[in-house]
Amino acid sequence: MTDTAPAHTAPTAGPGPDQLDGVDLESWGLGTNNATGLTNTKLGMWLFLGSDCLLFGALISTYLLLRHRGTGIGPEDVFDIPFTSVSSFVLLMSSMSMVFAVSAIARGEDQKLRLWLLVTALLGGTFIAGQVYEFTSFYREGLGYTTNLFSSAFYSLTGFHGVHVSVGIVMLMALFFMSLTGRLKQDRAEAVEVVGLYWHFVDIVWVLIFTIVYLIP
Amino acid sequence: MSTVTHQGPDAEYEAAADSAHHEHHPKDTTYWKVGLALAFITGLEVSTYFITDDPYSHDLKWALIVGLLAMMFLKFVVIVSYFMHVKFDNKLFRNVFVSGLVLAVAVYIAVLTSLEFFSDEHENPSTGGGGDASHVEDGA
Repeated sequence: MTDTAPAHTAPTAGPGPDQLDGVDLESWGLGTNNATGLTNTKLGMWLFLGSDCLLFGALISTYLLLRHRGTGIGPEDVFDIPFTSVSSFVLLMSSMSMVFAVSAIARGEDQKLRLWLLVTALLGGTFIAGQVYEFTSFYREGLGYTTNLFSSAFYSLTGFHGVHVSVGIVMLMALFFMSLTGRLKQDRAEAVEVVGLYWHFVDIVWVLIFTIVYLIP
Repeated sequence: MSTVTHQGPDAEYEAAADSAHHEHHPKDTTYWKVGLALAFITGLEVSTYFITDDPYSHDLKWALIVGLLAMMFLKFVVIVSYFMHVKFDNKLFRNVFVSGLVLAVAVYIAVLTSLEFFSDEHENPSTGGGGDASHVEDGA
């Protein structure tokens, strides 16, 4: 083996740890782990998502414990299931448009990539707009953040999720403008895939919230 | 020119890197089918709300809960498998995510159990105010 030879004097037949398909991944912050051969960025995102399960687990558990402990307005008094169903459907469809964006950049189709990124961001924005409307209508019905235990738990849970969606929209728009300025090409498809992982995670968290918080009596 | 060939650990590295970057993702038609299936399941979920005017007192309460949880779990698995590519990607990613998920579920089921969430007392708290708990039935 020639592992001890300096890298700059011993070109190898295969890709090095930070060279795949002739692309210098390290320069893009997408270096690979020498032990696994997997990219650190993607592994890091999966680690983050795994840890984020604990955050949302805590918030959902807290909501379950407190939703019927408060006085006054309860969930059955304020929830508008048909409206929230539409919001849930919108977020679900944004997950589908996100996978089309990942497919588009994998094929090197920049225009389709930008289209699907924009569609995903718009659907995410629609979801957030719906959440703002929902919060506003709840507040007008007398359900403030500190009204009772149910309201605090509900706003904390759905609010944290809303922040996650908002961060996702910022990342999607960043990718959109990077693509627009030619800084996001096929060789950086993993950047879109990693943002896609985050976006799908936000979607599956809402799948849980929609069922546990809104639908289950 | 060096003629280093990748054997042993290097070959494993190449195989892992290859699987990480050239995994076989589904075609767009598959995504459409998955999306339609998810929309259909969501429609089923929402339809349960309209089965009765008062789902809290309906005889089918527990059937609804079990059905909704099953559909929720199905949607979760489908999205993670197909949209997040867990089904087609390196298994290490799946293991990392599932570890966090299982830990979260275990920890919070323990927390909920210790705080008597699954007991009848939780549904009808005798102290601290139960608020408007007219919708709460006796434990099933």
